[in-house]
Amino acid sequence: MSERLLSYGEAIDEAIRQEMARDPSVFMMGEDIVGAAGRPEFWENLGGAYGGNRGLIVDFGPERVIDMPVSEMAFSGAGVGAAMAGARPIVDIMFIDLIGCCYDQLINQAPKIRYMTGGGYDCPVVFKTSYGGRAIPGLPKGGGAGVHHSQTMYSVVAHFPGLKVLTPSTPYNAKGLMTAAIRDNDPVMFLTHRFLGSVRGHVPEEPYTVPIGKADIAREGEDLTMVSIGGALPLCFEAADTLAADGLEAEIVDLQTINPIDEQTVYESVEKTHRLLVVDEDTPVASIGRDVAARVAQNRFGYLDAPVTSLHSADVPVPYSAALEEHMPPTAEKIVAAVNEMLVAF
Amino acid sequence: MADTVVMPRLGMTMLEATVVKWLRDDGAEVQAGDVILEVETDKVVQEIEATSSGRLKHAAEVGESIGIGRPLAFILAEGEEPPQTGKPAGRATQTKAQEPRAGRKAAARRPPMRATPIARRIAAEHNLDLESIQGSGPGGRIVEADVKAALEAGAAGSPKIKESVPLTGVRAATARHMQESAAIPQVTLNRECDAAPLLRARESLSLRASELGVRVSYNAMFAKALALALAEFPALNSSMSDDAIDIYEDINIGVAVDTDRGLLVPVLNNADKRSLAELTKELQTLSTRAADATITAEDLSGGTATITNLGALGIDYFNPILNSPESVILGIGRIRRHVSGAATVWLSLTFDHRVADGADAARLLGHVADSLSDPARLV
Repeated sequence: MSERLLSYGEAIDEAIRQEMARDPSVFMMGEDIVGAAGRPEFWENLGGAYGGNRGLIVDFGPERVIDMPVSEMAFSGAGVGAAMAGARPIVDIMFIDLIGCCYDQLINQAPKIRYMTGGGYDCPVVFKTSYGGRAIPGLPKGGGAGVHHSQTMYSVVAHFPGLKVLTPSTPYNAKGLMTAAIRDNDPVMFLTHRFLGSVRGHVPEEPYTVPIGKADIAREGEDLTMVSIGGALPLCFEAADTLAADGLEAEIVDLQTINPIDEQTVYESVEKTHRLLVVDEDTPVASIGRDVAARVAQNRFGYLDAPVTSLHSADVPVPYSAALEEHMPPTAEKIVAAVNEMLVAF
Repeated sequence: MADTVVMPRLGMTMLEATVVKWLRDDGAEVQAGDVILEVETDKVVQEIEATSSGRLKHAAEVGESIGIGRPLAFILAEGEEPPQTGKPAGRATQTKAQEPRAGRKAAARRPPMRATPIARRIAAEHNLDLESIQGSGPGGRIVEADVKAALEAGAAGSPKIKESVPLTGVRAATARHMQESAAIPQVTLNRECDAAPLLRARESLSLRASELGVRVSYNAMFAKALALALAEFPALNSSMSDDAIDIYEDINIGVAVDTDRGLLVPVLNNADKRSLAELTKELQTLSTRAADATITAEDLSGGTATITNLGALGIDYFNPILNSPESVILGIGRIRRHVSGAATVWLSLTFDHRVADGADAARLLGHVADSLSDPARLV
């Protein structure tokens, strides 16, 4: 049987459609997920800021695919309430940059419902949003979207116990994790990288889940562990190829879930390779990348043969100028340079 | 600004050094690089040079111990006054009282040996001294590859171990005992003796085997010969204790016996007073019990001297090692029958040189040889 190839965006859309078909309590709401400004004749061709939900409303009807007014605070709260009332809402927040508007629902309410009600309420809501501001190598250049539509900032939602945060990076894992997120009885943030959308990969047609909280060994190697977060994966692969040409075999651990972190898989890899580089497109301060680095430094000190290193975006607001923005995030060249630096660092 | 000449670090373990001699007077004009004084650590005397040019002001006296980094001298510009050192009175005794802390500080000051955590871990697992490894990492840091290379180099130099037999039982006891003995200053005297009379005596005793109830053994004869010699020279029937030589009343001869379990030394008590037939019988009994492991601690203790015979295994002569704490052991080689009809045997007497001198031991061995050449004395 030949491999069935889907794009990252198509894989996520397929997971949502399959779960909506399977479970009538699943519904979706968000800005522009229908589009068409109230004109059903355009439903077929529109849906989602990136076209990810094209025609969803045609298949599932206006009661289960609902456009929302421009008030993230309101509809994220509606999502939490609907989840408490027994539905399984998927709340689409177009850009992660907008979560400042839903922070109370996202961090003070959703993650604490189970705890505050003594286990009395589930809160099976999925907050789906997009992050990332740079183009993926080999794909048309994106970026230049300005400071409010380009941030990565997943670290700021990964801080809260009770909120699971996923950063899938391949079509296969994206479908499996979206299915798992919808079926999960706790609030889950599902973060898609804006420029991974058209990356294609093998995706089985039948529904399946990928476990939440489990990292993926994306590439095996003996000499160095690269922990990749979300959209850093293609960069890590490119850098690993360059390093392999120099005889250095990198093992790539795709973290996939940034809360809770699968530290065991990271530790096992470091116990094998004795070196760690974390590649994190978020800015460095109080970031997941440094969290992973700190855990390894604290708990696997005795296995290290080089300083634990993390590579991040520059610690600046995302520049509007595409020419400047290009210099902000990690690149394959920066990863290779960071590895070389690590090997000679005092 | 006055330049300060401080006590340099002259060795890894150095904490301070003593001023031995001022080579330039207080107040003298010195040039940078001039040798101005000598200091001495517990290991070396070192000349100390001026670090700049100017007028020398001593900051320490001859005989004074100065810690690392403490001022030895100031070099002053024209008209400049030395800085106040604020040296407290009675500093020398203070230093003594604070020695443990000084040691800890010194340890903390020592530049850290650079090795990565995994390098340290692997080295510790293999009991490898990191100090012996040259680091190839940044700044000379010892990295994993260096430790692994050192382990491989070490492994290449030593033979491969097929199996490791734990040291237990008789083997362990022998090992410990021999180690103890090795600490004793011992000397071996070798003497070739006429063995023809011994052979004839044994033949005639063998003819009387039914009368005696046993065929007298050579070992019984050697044991008795040594016992009689010790009766004549009792100073060597002894043990060295902390500050005395304890001379024994009884003469009890241990006989080294090779068994499956290892070397055992059953003891023939009062060997000087018993007949060869008795000694032979007892030795046979003890040897059997040594072989089948029914021998008791009592059978194996109380010896005052030992004989060890490798003649049966074709050994001509060897240097026996003392059965500590005894003062003598007699080694016996094979009895060699010459074409001429003559027969000889090598006797090797090892003695504790703390207890007696070579001449004393030579006389004892001479007595043994005499007995063997006139075996009637043994009966």
